[in-house]
Amino acid sequence: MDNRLTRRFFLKTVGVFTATAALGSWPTNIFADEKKLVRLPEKTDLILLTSRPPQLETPLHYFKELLTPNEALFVRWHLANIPTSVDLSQWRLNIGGNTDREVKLSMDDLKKLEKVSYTAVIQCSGNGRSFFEPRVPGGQWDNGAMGNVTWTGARLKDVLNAAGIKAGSVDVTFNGLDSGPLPTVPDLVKSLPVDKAMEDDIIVAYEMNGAPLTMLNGFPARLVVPGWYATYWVKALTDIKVLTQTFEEFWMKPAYRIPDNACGCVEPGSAPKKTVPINRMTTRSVIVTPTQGSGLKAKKPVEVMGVAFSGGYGIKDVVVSVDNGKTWNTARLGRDLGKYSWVLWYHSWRPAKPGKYTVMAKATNSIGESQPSDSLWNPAGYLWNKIEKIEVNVI
Amino acid sequence: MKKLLFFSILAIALGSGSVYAQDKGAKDMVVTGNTKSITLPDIATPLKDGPGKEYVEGNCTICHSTDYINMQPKMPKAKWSATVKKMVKTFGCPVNDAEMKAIEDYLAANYGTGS
Repeated sequence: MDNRLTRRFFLKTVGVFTATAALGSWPTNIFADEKKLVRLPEKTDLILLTSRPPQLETPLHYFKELLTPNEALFVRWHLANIPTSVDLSQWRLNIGGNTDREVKLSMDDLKKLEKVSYTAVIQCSGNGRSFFEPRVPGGQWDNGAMGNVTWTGARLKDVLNAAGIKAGSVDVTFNGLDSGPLPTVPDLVKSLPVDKAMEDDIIVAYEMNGAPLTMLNGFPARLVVPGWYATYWVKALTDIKVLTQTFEEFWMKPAYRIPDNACGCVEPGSAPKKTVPINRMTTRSVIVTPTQGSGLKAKKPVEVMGVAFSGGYGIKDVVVSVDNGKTWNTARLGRDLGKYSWVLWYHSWRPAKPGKYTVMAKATNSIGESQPSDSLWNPAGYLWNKIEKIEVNVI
Repeated sequence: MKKLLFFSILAIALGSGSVYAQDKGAKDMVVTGNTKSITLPDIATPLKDGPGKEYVEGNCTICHSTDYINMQPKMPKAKWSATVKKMVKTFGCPVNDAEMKAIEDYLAANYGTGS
C-alpha cells in the first residue's frame, strides 16, 4: 500500500485504537459525529473547518503529549491570500514608525540577536466556541485550536531596541504577508501597548520544536506572546511599526474584543456596553482520556488524564471528579516546563460498579484563577473555560 | 484486528518521540535554494441546492471557501442577514441589494433555524 494511504488510514483510526487500548473496551460512539480530516503541506491529517483560508483543528488525542508535534498543530488564517512561497533572500523584518531609525532585518540578522526559547501554549481566542449556548457564528472549534510548543527566536524587545523606540510611543503594530482578496478587506494588523511589547518574554520566533516554522504556522517568523491568545501571534511577520497613538483598525476594533468586566461575559444573547481588546488567556483544563461516551469496565483501573494551563501564571493544582462534582480528588501533575506551558495531569480511577459517570476536571493557577461551573457567555465566543464534563458508561 | 491494534500502538510509541520531526516526505512542500514553497490542495465542500445558490457561489467565494457556510450553527434569518451585511459593508463583497437579499434568503432557507 502507498505510504500516504497507510498513514491516512492510521491517523483516521488512531483515536479509536488508542481509546480501546487505554480503556480495554470499545467506545460506544465510534461513528458518531465523524469529522472530515484533510492533509495540507507539512501537516498530518487534521480536522477541516475551512479550506480557504485554511482553518484546521488538532484531534484531541495529540494532547496526550506534553509537546504538540509541528505537523499536528492547529492552523488558523483570516484572509484568503496566505503566503505559499517565501524567499529568505528577499524576506525582511521592517521596524519603523516612531523610532530613531528604520531597520530591515534579514533572517541572518534576526538570528544574530540573543536566541531564547519558551514552551508556551498557543490557543485561538475562539477555542471551544462550538460549546457556546446560545451558539455564536465564527470558527466552530471544539478543543483543538490549541497546542503546546517550544518556540525559539529573538526577543521582540531586542528587535525594537535595534530601531530605538522614541519617547511618546503608545502602541506597536504587527503585520504579516497575508492579505485579503479585495482591497476593501481590512488587512490583518494587530497591536500591543508599547509597555507590553517591551516585556522580556515576547519573541519573534523562527523555530517551533527546534525546526523552522511550517508555512501554515507562519514561516519564516511569527510573534509569540506567551500567556495571551494567539490573535496577537502574527504569522509570516514582516512589519513592526511604533505609533504615538492607540491603534484601532478593524482587527483590534471592533474585532477581537471582549466585554470590559471581570468575567469578560454578558447575559447570554445580549451585547456588552463597553469592550476591550482580548488579551490574557483564561485558566483551563481539558480532559483528553477517557473520551466522551467511552465504555469502561467496572473494577478495571483507568487513567483519567488531560492538560491544564493558564495565561502565564502556571498551574497550582487540578482536581478531578468522577461523580458529577460531588467529590473532588487532586490530580498528579506531570513535568513542569514553565509558567507558559501546559502541564499534563493524571488521576487513577477504578470505577466500583456499572453505571453512567460524569467526569470533570478543574484547574487553578498560581494566582488563584480557576474555572467557572457555568459557561460565561460573550457574543464573539471567546475565553471558553467552563469546567468540562464528559460522560462515560461503566459496564 | 489484534495485529493491527498492536502496530498502531507501536506506531504511537515510536511516533511520540518525534516531536521535532517535520514531514519531509510530502511533495507538496519544496525548498529550492532560499525559497520554501507549498502547494495547497483544492478542497471543495458542496452547498445545498436551492434558489440563490449561484449568488453565494459567485460572490462569497471571492473571499472564502463554501465550508465557512457549512461550518456555522443553524441561525435565524436575522443573524444570517447580519452576517451577510458584515460581509458586504465591512469586507466589501461586491453585490447589489437584490443579490444581497437573494444570498440572505438562500442562507436562511438552507442553513437556518427556520425562524
